[in-house]
Amino acid sequence: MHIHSKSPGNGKGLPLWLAAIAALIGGIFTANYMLVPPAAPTLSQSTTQLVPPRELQAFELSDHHGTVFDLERLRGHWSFLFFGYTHCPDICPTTLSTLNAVAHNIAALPNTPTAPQFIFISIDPARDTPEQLAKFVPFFNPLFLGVTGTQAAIDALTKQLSVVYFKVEAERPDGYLMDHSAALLLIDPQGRLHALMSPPFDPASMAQDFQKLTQYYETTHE
Amino acid sequence: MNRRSLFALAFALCCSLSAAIAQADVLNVSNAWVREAPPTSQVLAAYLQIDNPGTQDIAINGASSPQFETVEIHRTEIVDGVARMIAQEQLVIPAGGSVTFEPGGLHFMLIQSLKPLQRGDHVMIQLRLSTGDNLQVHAEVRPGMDAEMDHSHHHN
Repeated sequence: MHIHSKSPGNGKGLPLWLAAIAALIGGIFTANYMLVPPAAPTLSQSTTQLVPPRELQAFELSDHHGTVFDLERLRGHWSFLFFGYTHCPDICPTTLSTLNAVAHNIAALPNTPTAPQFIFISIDPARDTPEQLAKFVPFFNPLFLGVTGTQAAIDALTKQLSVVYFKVEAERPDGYLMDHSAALLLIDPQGRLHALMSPPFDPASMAQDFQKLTQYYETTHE
Repeated sequence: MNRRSLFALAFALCCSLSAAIAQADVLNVSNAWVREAPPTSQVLAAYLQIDNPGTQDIAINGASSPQFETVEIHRTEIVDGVARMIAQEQLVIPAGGSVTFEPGGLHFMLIQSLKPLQRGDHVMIQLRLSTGDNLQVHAEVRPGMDAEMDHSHHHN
């Protein structure tokens, strides 16, 4: 029997010791990475993320099928809201066309996010009945939903969202125009105002911003 | 389409053709279109580009259409996040310059169509010019630009 004089510490002990340090450092890095939330997404210039998102209070409107449209209807999925009126020749049809392009762009993204709902809310309830909205809104995309209600009920929602509108009288009594906020509002699955998108609108970058926001939301809410 | 409206259409086409010839060296109109809208829409928007290759400014003092009760010229402006439409009483096309009517900007507001319009129909718009002439424009009803971009694969 002979014992080698070679010290075990020189041959195997040192690498083990190094490995332990490496594991420790690696562990700290991993823990840091996992515990610190990922950086907020970088969005296009027209999109503004609200941090923290704004909680909304109850409201009660009606969709173009005549079904109640309340805060509950905004929960469980993402929603794009746009405020306008059907007697609007330029900006409202233009924005609804843009939203149709956004819907298609979102569907065409790799790792497609869950489809959001698109909701057109009238700020002109005197002329925009559910029947009128039913003829107007789905024309741009059959999945789009028109929403209206009493003036007071609409105001209960617009005030929370900082959406403004003004009636502009015209010569023809029923030919008045409405000035209104041009922004699109993005509501998160908890029914909170999560982001704003301002014109000029670019459907491709809006779809990308939507994906970044939803991915960020998922990593921070699980 | 009955015989009378066919005749009216032919007459309108002849008028516009002669107007186009007469105005060729004054104002050039291109890419005139009307945004397709739901058949129940009371108001539509028409867009186009006007070039003035001449050496004198020419103003549009008003517009009308036999297919609509009223035609107004408006400019959509977004000020502090609020979209509003500003009626344009007079619009100058500068000498050697051009003015583009486009979604979210200048547009002809076509009010109260006398007959519902469909994709492919044409709208005749008459522009009253500061020169005393009338310029007739034919704008085709077609879907919005975004919808077209969205269907770009059709170009393949």
